[in-house]
Amino acid sequence: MTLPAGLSASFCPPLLRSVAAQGLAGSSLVEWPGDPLDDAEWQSFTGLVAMHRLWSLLADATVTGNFPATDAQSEEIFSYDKEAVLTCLYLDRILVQTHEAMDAHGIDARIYKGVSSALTFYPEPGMRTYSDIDLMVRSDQLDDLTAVLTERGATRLGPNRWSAFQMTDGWEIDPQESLRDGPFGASIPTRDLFATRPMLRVGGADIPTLSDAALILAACYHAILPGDLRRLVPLRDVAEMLMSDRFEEDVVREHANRWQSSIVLATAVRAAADLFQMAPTTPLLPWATAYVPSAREQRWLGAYHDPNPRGHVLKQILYTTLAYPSRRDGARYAYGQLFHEGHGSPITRVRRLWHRVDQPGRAAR
Amino acid sequence: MTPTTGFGSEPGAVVVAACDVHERYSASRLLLLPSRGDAVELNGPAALVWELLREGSTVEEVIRQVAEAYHEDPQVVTPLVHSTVEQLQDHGLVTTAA
Repeated sequence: MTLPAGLSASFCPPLLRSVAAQGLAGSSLVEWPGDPLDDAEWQSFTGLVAMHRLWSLLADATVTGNFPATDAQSEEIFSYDKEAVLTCLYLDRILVQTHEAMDAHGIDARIYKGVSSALTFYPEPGMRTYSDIDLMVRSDQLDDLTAVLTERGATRLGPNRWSAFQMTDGWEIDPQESLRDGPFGASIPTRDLFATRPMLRVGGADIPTLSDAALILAACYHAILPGDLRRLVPLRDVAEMLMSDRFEEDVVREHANRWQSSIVLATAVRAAADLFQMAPTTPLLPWATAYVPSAREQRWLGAYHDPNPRGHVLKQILYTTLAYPSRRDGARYAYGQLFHEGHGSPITRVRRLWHRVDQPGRAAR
Repeated sequence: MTPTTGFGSEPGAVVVAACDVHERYSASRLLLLPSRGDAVELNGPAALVWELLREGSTVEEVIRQVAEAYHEDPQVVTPLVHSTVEQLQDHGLVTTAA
């Protein structure tokens, strides 16, 4: 099984890879410059660092002496790092306040991705920054969540009922009903995501999050399936989780198998190991290297990576409809795609889908 | 060792760290954000003072441990510790309990 285009280590400049691997146990990547970058190199490099949100890892590399920087460059790095970390603290504060409001209204949500990854798997949470709050919520509680957020002054950013919300101070809360759109998300039984209620300590409050296995697979979906070209942080998440004392290989593989996403797990593990030059003995890597995906898994993954955007949309709708564990849910999804309330006639809807090529990652929602 | 007015000046007074504080390291600086108000940035020794208070140490214990960590005489670090506690108090990050 070869890595999809854009996921091999060659997609990323060596120095950026080293920054993304800063402080990662198990990585043998040490490609640092001998001297500070000149102005032209610095401008180009910091553009990539900003795009991939790696300021905190670059700051750590600067403090530890791995990355040589002039005084002015150091000052810039530390300034952006501080801004990124402060963003996380303000998001955490909003999270705690939102959790209290949700709790009061009986909304059983789970946080995952950014804050969960940072506080669960990273040795120093400040190394993993994030810019929004991702909330997993059951479909039948989305209206309640909407009411709670709206009452707090939030506005929905799009016409879709699952669109993200912007709080009054600009921070975003992104509600989700599964770990991913498309067939890989549809094949996850909702009850699995809410079966456990592990708590994460955030600013003195206990906030429910997803299980470790679900967090790891969420990072894999984020890293491998298109929708966001910034793959370095989710791939770092995957690598960090593999090296964590909490990592339970059998449990993660069992979840991936049940959710029909072993191909995503295997691909993410191989991509992370490739990117960060991790040892062949890294947990899961021998399994991932030997893994032979089924024809259906390959079709599903291929639909996400289809270079033809129209083919991508239509295949995703077809595969997603068939992927739901319940036929009723699959039918409801298909109906929603074709007869979405307020979106015109079925013909108009099909036409819109056909032309919706600019945001393929959102198309199957 | 004379405690500064405002904390620990009363016999038996205890400085208690607030528990609803968001904290994270940014490079070598510790950033704190209370449940209300603005963020506070602490450098190395001040960050150590906060961490020790949060773990339940008394001011006297904090002075001793900071002195040990920085290989200084306790009398030298006492003003720094007191000043840090006052700053933390001003931001609502610690309270003094009798």
